[in-house]
Formats: sequence, structure tokens, C-alpha cells
Amino acid sequence: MRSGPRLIAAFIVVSATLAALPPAAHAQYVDPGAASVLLQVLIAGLVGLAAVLKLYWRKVTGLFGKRSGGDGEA
Amino acid sequence: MSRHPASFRDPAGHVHERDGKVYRTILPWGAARYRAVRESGFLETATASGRLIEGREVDPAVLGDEAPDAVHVLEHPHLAFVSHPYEWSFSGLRAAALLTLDLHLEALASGVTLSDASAYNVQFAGPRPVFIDYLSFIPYEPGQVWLGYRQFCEQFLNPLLLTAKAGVAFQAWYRGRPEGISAADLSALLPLRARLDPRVALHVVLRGRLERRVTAHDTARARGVRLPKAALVNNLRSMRGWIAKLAPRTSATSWEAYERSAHYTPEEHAKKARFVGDAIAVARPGVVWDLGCNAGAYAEVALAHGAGLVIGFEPDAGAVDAAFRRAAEKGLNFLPLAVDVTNPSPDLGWLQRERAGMAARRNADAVLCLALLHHLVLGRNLPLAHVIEWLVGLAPRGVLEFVPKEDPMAAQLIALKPGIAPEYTREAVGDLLAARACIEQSAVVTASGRTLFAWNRA
Repeated sequence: MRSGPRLIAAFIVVSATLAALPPAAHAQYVDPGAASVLLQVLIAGLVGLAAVLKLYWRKVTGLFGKRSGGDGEA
Repeated sequence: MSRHPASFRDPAGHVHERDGKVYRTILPWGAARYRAVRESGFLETATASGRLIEGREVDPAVLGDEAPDAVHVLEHPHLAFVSHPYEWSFSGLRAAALLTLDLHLEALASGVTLSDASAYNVQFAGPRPVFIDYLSFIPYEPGQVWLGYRQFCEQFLNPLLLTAKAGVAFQAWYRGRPEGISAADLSALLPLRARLDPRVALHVVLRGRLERRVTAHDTARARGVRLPKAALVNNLRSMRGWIAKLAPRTSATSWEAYERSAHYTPEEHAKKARFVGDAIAVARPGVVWDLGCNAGAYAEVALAHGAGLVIGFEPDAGAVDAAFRRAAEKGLNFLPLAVDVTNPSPDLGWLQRERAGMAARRNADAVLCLALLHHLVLGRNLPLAHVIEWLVGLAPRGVLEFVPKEDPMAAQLIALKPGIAPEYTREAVGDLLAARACIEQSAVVTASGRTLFAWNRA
């Protein structure tokens, strides 16, 4: 999970650069595989982000679960 | 030369076929990597589970002058039948995709990774996918990305999405472009709702756009990209979870539904099954080709009566998928392919030798041609004599079903073309068969006059 924040940062950087990319001038001479390599960082960031959000979501729902349990006891 | 015509891309080694045996050479370029992978223990685990084809190291000099540089030589079992991804059913391609991902994940746990993700590295033993390449596995280096990601998308994910999200059968397009379906092409025709799916937006739409906009500068930057191993594993797992849930958009039909449309009473079906079973039990064929196999009911009968392996041919995407699921659920040694026998796969790829066409892969000891002849002659206007000659040429033995024009199903085919194929009669079929082979049995199996012929030209 320690790589999570780093991946999210990478995701933001990559998506910002991608948005600024101009169309390639000589597409036939550029390895289209490069796009797939760069995209993997973005995907890893999103998958990581989803995992983090899921974790927080569970914490939030857990919090409510506990409180309603506490109310029941009181 | 014994080298396999599809084996030329990998500088690490090649596949040779000699005296009915299959050998894989490992050349100096890939020898150290191969040994590192072998030492990891991954190959042993993967072969033990049957997901990677067996490979036994033999004397490196076995191929003599044909492979003087070979550092190692592996001997592999001979595949009963080679099929290509553009011939697989949706469920077949999905099973091959999941196998590729599972092996990649398993490999990573042993410090090994996959250098590519070619669908042609998967073959089928019945409905069970088996990975056949050893040299795709290389030692994992920390920070490495998913090297075969783009190829995985083009050869597995995109064809599956075409069927799952757009409801279009992927096989014809895949055959036209054996390297797979590109992201740009697919995203151009996916419906808006599909493109709004975040995973489609990322793996298809965005990837397609990026590929068109990428520059030499990005290539340099891509070289420096490092991905933590946990992130690589997460990417593979997330892809696996997604693919496992993909299903054809059009058909949720079970194979029973296909059988119900066959228009036989239970007694008639039993009579037909008995005829087919008896013919197979006498011939004991190693390989049966079931032409127009539908959902595989008679392939199952053939297997129950001693056929070793059945290869099915069925152009209907829903039926062939149902047949594949039937084979997988029941553990039948049956591989149904999405192939129209009137337009079989041609020789494709580099020098037109890379992916062998259907004619070059003919290996049937017997053929079943049940409820198909009327489709060919009445539906497709093929001359009866040509069809019989082709059929008898396919295998030394077979069972042919004749469906008369008066049969309700055949009548539907000719409703708009009365007078077609006047030569199409039971007598003509019998005479044409008898001129080329010995008719060992024949029987009328339905009230409508459907007739079965068992012939033998051996």
C-alpha cells in the first residue's frame, strides 16, 4: 500500500502530460508500444486509487456500523 | 528444413518438427534467460498443473545441422490439432486470455514474467487451454512493466469487447487482421454507453488516442518507466477480474436451447444418436470432424462411442459458444471452432505460411455431416455432386444426414426459391456416395424422411 500515494502522484503527472501531447508527426516511425507503457502507470494509479478509496469507504461505513452498534448498547 | 513456418520472430529459439516429433531449440541469445526461468521452478509447477505444455530436455545435438547453435533442445508432445484465435468461440478466447493472465501472475510469484501476450501461444486440448511457448517466460527485473500489455489488448481484450459490448462476432475481423484488433479501430465503433465504462475508456479509447499522438520523446520517456511489482500484479488482477465477467452481448442462451430447435421427437433423436454411435463404435476413429456441430450433442455421442477427439465446425457464434461451454462443463475432448465449412480459414500471415489454413490441418479419421447438407445445397446453392465429393475426400469414413425438401426446416430454406436444386434427392445422394465409397448402413430416422448414410471408402 506504500506505493499508493506515489502512484497517484505519477497518475496526475502522466495524465497532465498526456493532455498536452501534440499529434505525432511521423506516426509510422514511432513505436505505438510507448503509449501502452505510459498508460500502465496511469492504470496502476487508478487501480491503486480505487483500492485506497475502497479502504476509506470501508472505514467510513465501519464507523457508522460501530456507532449504530454503540447506540444500540446505550 | 524442419523448422515450423510460424517460428521465426523470437531470436531466443525456434520450433522444429521432425519425424513426428516437436523440438524447441534454445539459442545462445536466450540460453541464460531460459536457465534462470528453469531454476525458478515455475516451469515445473506450470507443467504439473497441465497449463503449460510439457517439455523434456533432450540432447542438444538431436537436430544436427539444422540447429547447430542450439544450446538446449526441448521435446514437446505433438498437438492433436492446431487452432487459431480467430477460429475460437468467445468462451474459448476468454479461457485463453484467463490462462495467459493466470500464468503471468503465477510466474511473477516465482520471479518470472511474460515477455509477450500472443494468443497464438495458447492451444487447446479439447476445451482446455494450454500455453505452448517456453521462451515467452523471462526473469522478472524489478520495476518492469507489463511487457505484453498492448498485445494482450489487441489479441484478447479487444476481440472479446467487440462481441461483449458491440454484439459483433470477432472472428471474421480477427481473421482479417491476425495480429488482433487495434484500440483505435475498436473505439471508433463501440457504442457510447460502452465507451463510458471507465475500463473501456482507459484500455481502449484512451489507449487508441495515445497511440496516435505518441512522439519519439514519449518513446524515450517510456524506456525509463518503472512500475512497482505490486502495481503490475494489481493491473493483471484487475484485468483478470474484468475479463472473467465478460459475456457475449447477444446470447445468454444455454446449449439446451440450441438442441430444442433441432426438431426431433425424443424417439427420433434416440434413433439418430444410435445410428451415429454405432458407426463410430465400428470405426473407432482417433479424430472426428463434426461439420455443423451446433451445440455438440452428436460430438458427445461420438465421444461416448469411442472417438478420441472431436473437432467441431459451426458458423453460428451462439451455437459454437454453447458447444464450447458444454465441452468445458462435461470435460469432453471436444473443440468446437467458429468456422464456416463453406469458407474455411485460409493460409495466412508472413509468406502465407505462418498460420496454416484448414486444408493443411486436415486430420480427420471420420466426419459427421448431420443436418448440414441441405444448408449447403439448398441454402448456399452449392452443387450436390461437389459437396459429396468434398465430404468423401475429407476422411475415409463418415455419417451423412439427408434432409428432404419436404422437411419443415428444409422447406423454410427454399420458401423463396422454388425449383432450386432439382438434383437434390435421397436417391441422388445415395448414388453419388455409392460411386465414391461403400455405403455400410442407411436408415430413415424421422417421420419427415430424414435419412442417415454411413459410408466407408477405406
